[in-house]
Amino acid sequence: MLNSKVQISGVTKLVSLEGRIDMSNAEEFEKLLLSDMDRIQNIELDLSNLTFIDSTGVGHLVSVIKKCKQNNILFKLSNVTEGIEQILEIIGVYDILKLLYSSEA
Amino acid sequence: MDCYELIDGVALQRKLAIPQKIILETTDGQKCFGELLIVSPVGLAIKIDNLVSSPWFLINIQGNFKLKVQRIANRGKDNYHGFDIMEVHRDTGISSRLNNEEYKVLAMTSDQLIDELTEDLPESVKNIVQERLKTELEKGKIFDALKVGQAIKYQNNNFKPLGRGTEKINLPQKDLRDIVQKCSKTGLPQRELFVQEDQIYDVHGIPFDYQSGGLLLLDVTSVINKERQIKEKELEIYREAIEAVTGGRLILVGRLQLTSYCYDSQPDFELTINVSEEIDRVRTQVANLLRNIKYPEREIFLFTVCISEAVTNALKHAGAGRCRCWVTPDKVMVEIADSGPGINFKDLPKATLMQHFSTTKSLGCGFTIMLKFLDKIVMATDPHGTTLILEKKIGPQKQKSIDDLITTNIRVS
Repeated sequence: MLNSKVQISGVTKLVSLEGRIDMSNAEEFEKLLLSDMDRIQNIELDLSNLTFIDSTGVGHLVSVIKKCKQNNILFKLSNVTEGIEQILEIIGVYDILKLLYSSEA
Repeated sequence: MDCYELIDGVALQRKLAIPQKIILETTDGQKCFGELLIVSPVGLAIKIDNLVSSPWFLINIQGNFKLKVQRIANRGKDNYHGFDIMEVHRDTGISSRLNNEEYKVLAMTSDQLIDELTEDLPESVKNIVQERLKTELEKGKIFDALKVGQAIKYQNNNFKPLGRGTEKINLPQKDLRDIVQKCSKTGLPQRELFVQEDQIYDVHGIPFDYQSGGLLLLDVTSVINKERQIKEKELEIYREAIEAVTGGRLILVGRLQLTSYCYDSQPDFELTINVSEEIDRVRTQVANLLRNIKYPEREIFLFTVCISEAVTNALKHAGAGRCRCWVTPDKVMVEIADSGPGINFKDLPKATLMQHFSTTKSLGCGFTIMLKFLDKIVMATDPHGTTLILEKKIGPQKQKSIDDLITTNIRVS
């Protein structure tokens, strides 16, 4: 249901997701993002081919964002499609990102 | 007046320290309530307020023996009446007068009886035995005074009511036998609830030994009704508050009212979800139905997120969910039901209206999303489970802003 492509170049990890995130794979998704934490400084999550996410998936995404902040890793979302953006917006993912990263950016 | 003149057997007449309540049954089955005041081996003096005439009466003494008595016509005054004992019916036969034991049982209080029966015991144990028996007696008296119950002793499948409980509970013997059998089989106390003609009985079975024991029948109707009333009142308060806060979009109902919010026609599909991998099947099915009627793709996406939220809640809190979906020209409706423990009323506002990442990851967020995109959510929740009906109008959409209505409370810790 979820295919992922992980590229690490230098201290930047780029994860491209394709498919859907829900209760059935949200934990697996979180683990995927949290691996390699010790050797990177940036994570970029490319959501251009993500077709579905619900609050369970977003919950794990927020958990990842918080852990990145704790480990001084810069977290970035890219290519968020309209529907997904609406869900992230309602749950407040952008507010969290702003709160965590804007002060030092 | 001098009650002692009412009956014969003067030498052995004894006035009861506490009048004993008895029931006199006429030859045609009518019942008179009386208080037994004086006993002699051949007669009784009884105070009866509403005496009806009958050639003779039957008096059942604590289920142990029966007296057939006849009123002494010319000796009564006001409500005080004298009776001759015609026959004493006991297990061993019939006689015309009370034997010594029967006389004592009637004439003495239980305390006096205990004293009398233990009189010949050695001094060293007498007090202990008396004390023990009297303690047991007190317990019995307290139980007798209860207005809500009845105690029954059983032995070899025979039931004998204990005490003079004013309330007679008529549960089918079969039900009582079932409990007794369980007691005998397991040797452990059993408890069951019975509903009989709008009354609810809490029945406890306590085995004494292999084939005998006690049954305690308590009428708990009023307790349960009171509890129901409180629950209904509570639901009403939360219903109004939640409806107001969500602009009428989240409607709390009782389980019985659910049917009036749901179609009774055959659903367009029905699916039971047991594992999280199956959530996608519900989303796909609903999406396909909506694509068939050319519903906008963006709206389909948002509606499937709402379904995902509801089904996920069912899986997380109940381990399974049942989904039904109806699509009509003017709206789409999805019902998601589970058999979980339900949401406690006092947690409802938090569960439905607030976002909390710190607690159960998505519960609050799920409802926030549903309330944002749906036109109506009907919810019934109780200890038997939770049912949600999600509703979205099809056709021209009115823009609604729920952001003004919902507290967004993000905690980052």
